[in-house]
Amino acid sequence: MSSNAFNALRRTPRWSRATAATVLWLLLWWLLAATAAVPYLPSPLAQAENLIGNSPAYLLAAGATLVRAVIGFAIGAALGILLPIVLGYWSATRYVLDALADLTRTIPGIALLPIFLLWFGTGDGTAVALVAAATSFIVIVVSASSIRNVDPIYLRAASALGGAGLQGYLLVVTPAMLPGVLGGLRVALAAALPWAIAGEYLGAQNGLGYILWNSLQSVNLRQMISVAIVASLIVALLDLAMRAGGARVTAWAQTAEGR
Amino acid sequence: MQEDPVISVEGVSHFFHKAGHSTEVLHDISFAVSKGEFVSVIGTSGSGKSTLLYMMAGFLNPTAGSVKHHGEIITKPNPDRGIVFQSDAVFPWMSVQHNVEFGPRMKGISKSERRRIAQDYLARVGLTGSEKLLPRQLSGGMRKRVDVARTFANRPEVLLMDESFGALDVQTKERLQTELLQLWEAERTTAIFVTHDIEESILLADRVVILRGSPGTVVGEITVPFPRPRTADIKRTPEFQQLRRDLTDLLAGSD
Repeated sequence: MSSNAFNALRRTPRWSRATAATVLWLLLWWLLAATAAVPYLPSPLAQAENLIGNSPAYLLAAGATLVRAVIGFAIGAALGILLPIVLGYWSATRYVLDALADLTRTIPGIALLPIFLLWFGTGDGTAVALVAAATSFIVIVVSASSIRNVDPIYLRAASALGGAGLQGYLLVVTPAMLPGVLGGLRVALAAALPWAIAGEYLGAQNGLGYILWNSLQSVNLRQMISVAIVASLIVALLDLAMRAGGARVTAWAQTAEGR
Repeated sequence: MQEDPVISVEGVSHFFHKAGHSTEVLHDISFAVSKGEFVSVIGTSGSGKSTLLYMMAGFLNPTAGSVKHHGEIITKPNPDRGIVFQSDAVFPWMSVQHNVEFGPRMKGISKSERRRIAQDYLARVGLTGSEKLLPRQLSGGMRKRVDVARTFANRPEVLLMDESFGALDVQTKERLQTELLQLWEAERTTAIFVTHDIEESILLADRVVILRGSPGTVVGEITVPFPRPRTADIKRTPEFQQLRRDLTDLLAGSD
C-alpha cells in the first residue's frame, strides 16, 4: 500500500524529477565546499567559472581525445567482430576462438598500459592501441557467443539454396550475429573514452588525459573536475549515437508479435 | 518403372549416439521416387521421418545404406534439392525480395533477371507488393509463403518439405496446401513431403509411404487415385475418407 506522498512523486513528470534531483546534488556540493568538509573542493560557482571560462580549451582537448577513442574503437570493434567470424568457420579454429574469448575476458586492460607505452611510445599510438585492445577484448567475447547462438537452420537453408561453404557462412553469420554484439559495442564505446584518457595520461601532447596529468602536477582540482564533466557529457552523447545507429542496423531483429 | 528413380533410398538404417548410448531411429528403409512424382512420407513421431528427409537434403549421412540422387550417393546439400523446413528459415535480415533472390544470386544470375524471377514467384504465392518488407513485418503464413517462393525460385530438381505447414493454424495451413498444389501443378517438381497429417498427405501426394514405430520402418505404400489438378474438395469424397481410414489403421498398426 503506497502512501499519498509516494503516489504524488510517481505522478510528476520525469524531467521535473531530474531537475529537482540535480538541484539537490548541487546544494549538497555547495554545502560540502562551503564547510570545507571535502578538502580542496571548489564551490559549484567556481567550478562553473572554470568550465565555462576555459570551454574552448576543454572542447579542443575533448576533440583530440574523442578522435583517438573513436579510431581505437573502430579498430577494436572491427577486429573483435571479424576475427571470431573467420575463426568460427572451421571446427579446428573454433576451439581457438573459444580459448581466445576465455583468455581476453580475464585480462585487465590496465595491465597493458605499460606494455603499450614501451611499444608505441608517447603520442597517439598508446592511447589508440589501448582503446583498440580494450574494445576488442569485450567485442571478441560477445561475438563468439553471438556466433554460437546463430540458429543453424539459417545455415542449412542457405546451403540448400546454393550458399554453401565459406560464402554461405559469411552471408548468413555476419548479419545474424550483429544484434547480439550490440550490447557489447555499447559497453565498449562507453569505456573507449576513459581508456583514451588513460592512454593520454602518460603520453600525449594534448587531449583530456594530458590536461588531467597537468592538473595533477599543478594541483588544480577545478581543472580535474571540469575534465570529468566534459568526459561524461561526451560518453553520454556517444551512447545516444550508438543506440540510434545500432537500432537502425538491427531493426530487422526486433521481434514482431506472435513470433 | 520406365526410367531410373530421381531419389532412391536403399536399405537405410540410422543410429543416433548420445553420451555413449545408441538409439536406432530408422531401420532398413527402402523406397524410390520417380521424376515428377509427389510422394508423401507419413509417420508417427519418433519414426525418424525428418531424419530421413535430412539425409535426402544432404545434412546427414546414414549409418547404413544409402540415399541416392540419380544414382549418386548424397553426401552434402545441393541447390538441386530444395527444402522447406517446419520452423521459420526465412532470413530475417533480408527483405522478402532479397530472400527469394538468394538462390538465383548464389547461381550468379544477373540482378535484373533475379528481380524478374523473384517477382514472378512472389506473384504466384500472392505476395506481390510485399517485396520490400522485412520478414518480421509479415504473419507466419506470409513468411511460409516467402519460404516456398524462395525454394521454388531456385528451380530445384527435387523439392523436400519437412512438415512445412505444421506450425500454422488450420485455416492458413489449408490455404497454403491449396497454393502449393497450384504452384506444384505448374512446376511438377519431384517432391517429397514429410508429415504426420494424414489428410494432408492424401491431398497433396501421388503416393504415400508409411513409416511406423521407433525405429521407423516402412509398413506400406499407398497410391492416391485422385486425378490432377486437385482441389481441397476431394476431402469430402467417400474415397478420400476411406483412404484416410486405411492410412490411420496402417499407422496405428492394426493391419
